[in-house]
Amino acid sequence: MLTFVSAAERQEILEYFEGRFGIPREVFDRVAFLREGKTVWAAGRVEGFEEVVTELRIETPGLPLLRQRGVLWKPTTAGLQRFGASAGKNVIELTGEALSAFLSGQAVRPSDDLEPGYVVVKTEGMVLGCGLYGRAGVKPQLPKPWGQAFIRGEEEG
Amino acid sequence: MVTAFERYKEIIPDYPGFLAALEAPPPSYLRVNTLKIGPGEFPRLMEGKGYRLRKVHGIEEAFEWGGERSPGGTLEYFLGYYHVQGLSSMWPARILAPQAGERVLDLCAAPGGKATHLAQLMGDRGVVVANDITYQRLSILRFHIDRLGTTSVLTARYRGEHFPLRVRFDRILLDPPCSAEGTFRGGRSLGGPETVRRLSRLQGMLLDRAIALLRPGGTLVYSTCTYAPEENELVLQRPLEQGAVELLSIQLPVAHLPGLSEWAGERLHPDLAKAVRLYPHLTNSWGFFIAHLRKRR
Repeated sequence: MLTFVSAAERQEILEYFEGRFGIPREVFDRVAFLREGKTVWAAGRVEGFEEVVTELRIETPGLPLLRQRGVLWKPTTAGLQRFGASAGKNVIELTGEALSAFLSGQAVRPSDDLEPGYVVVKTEGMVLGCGLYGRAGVKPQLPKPWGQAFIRGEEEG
Repeated sequence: MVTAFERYKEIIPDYPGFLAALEAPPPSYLRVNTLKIGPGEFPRLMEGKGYRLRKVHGIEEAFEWGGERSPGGTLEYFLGYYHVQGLSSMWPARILAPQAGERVLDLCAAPGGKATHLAQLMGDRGVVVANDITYQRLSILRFHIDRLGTTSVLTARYRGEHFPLRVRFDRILLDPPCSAEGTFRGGRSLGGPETVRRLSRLQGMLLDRAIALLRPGGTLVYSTCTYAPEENELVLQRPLEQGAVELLSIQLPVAHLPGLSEWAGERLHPDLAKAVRLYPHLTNSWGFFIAHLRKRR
């Protein structure tokens, strides 16, 4: 069931983005957080939103932001692309061959100073998405359908 | 193919030109996602990488794609800087012109080009309920929401004609399933009269429900990518006659024709001339029908 997060959980989410990536909490000032199962969603904090979520059977209330993995948070690619531009730590910048390798699903060796765990992957200053830094390097965490669409390039009428 | 469109010979101007346009696919068009990048900065970024773009008259966020490569295969597409969308299908959201803070419904929303366009026009401030019955089509819509990064689009999966009446909306976009004659290019077969009749009934039910869901004074855009009057003017005829809605004029800076005032020897509601018809040989994009309605108070 879709529910608004408690004040304590909101605080925890803001602290996570600030602590792990240096994303200032003000970035989320106009964002409401909702939870369903292990997913936290980012939605607009606007008048009438609550009524819509309460009165209708809503499948998804906005943009997926975080997924819970045990006791850890995993940021989504969609969430980082939208809110991760101001990230100042645990950020890796990829270009050239490293970028191509990452996009084709391979782990890359970082030259940046990273702590193990999830990192923001950027290219030319733009947020590409999420990576997981561990012994094997930075592994891409990009959602599969994104890669497929990237290759197919669908058009709609 | 010629036979299928023969019944429109009298209503489509330059009919041979129309038939000739069906032989070639229209160019690809992009809609810049202004939530992520400005419409001025976007062409500089893309042209700097060697992509060729052409500005489109009348829609500042639209560009014609000039490259050989598929526009869905670039890094910038992946980053959600633009959406690949037919030019004609960018008009419905612009005509509906939703404002920040409003509550908007897209009743048949998948695959999501128009719903995400609505959110963009509202600066992602407001509520856009994007509804579609098909789970698979809804998952494509959700992918585009994620890629384009909108927080204001909520998805729902109701049968459109039974969408619950518990909430009223300021604006509604109704782009119902249609026979899609306007996207016809050589090679694909058309549905035939029975398909048109079946769709027309469904469209009528969807429109009734959409009008019921609108707050008094609220506005609705009805659009299809088909020429069949049974799916366009004739769907609007009954609610207009009943006085539930009034038609609003549409100003378009591109070549278009008015909605039909008569069909098959029958006179239609005179206000239907305020609707617009777009034809591929006049706009270099898909054929479309668009009407702008207001619910009477």
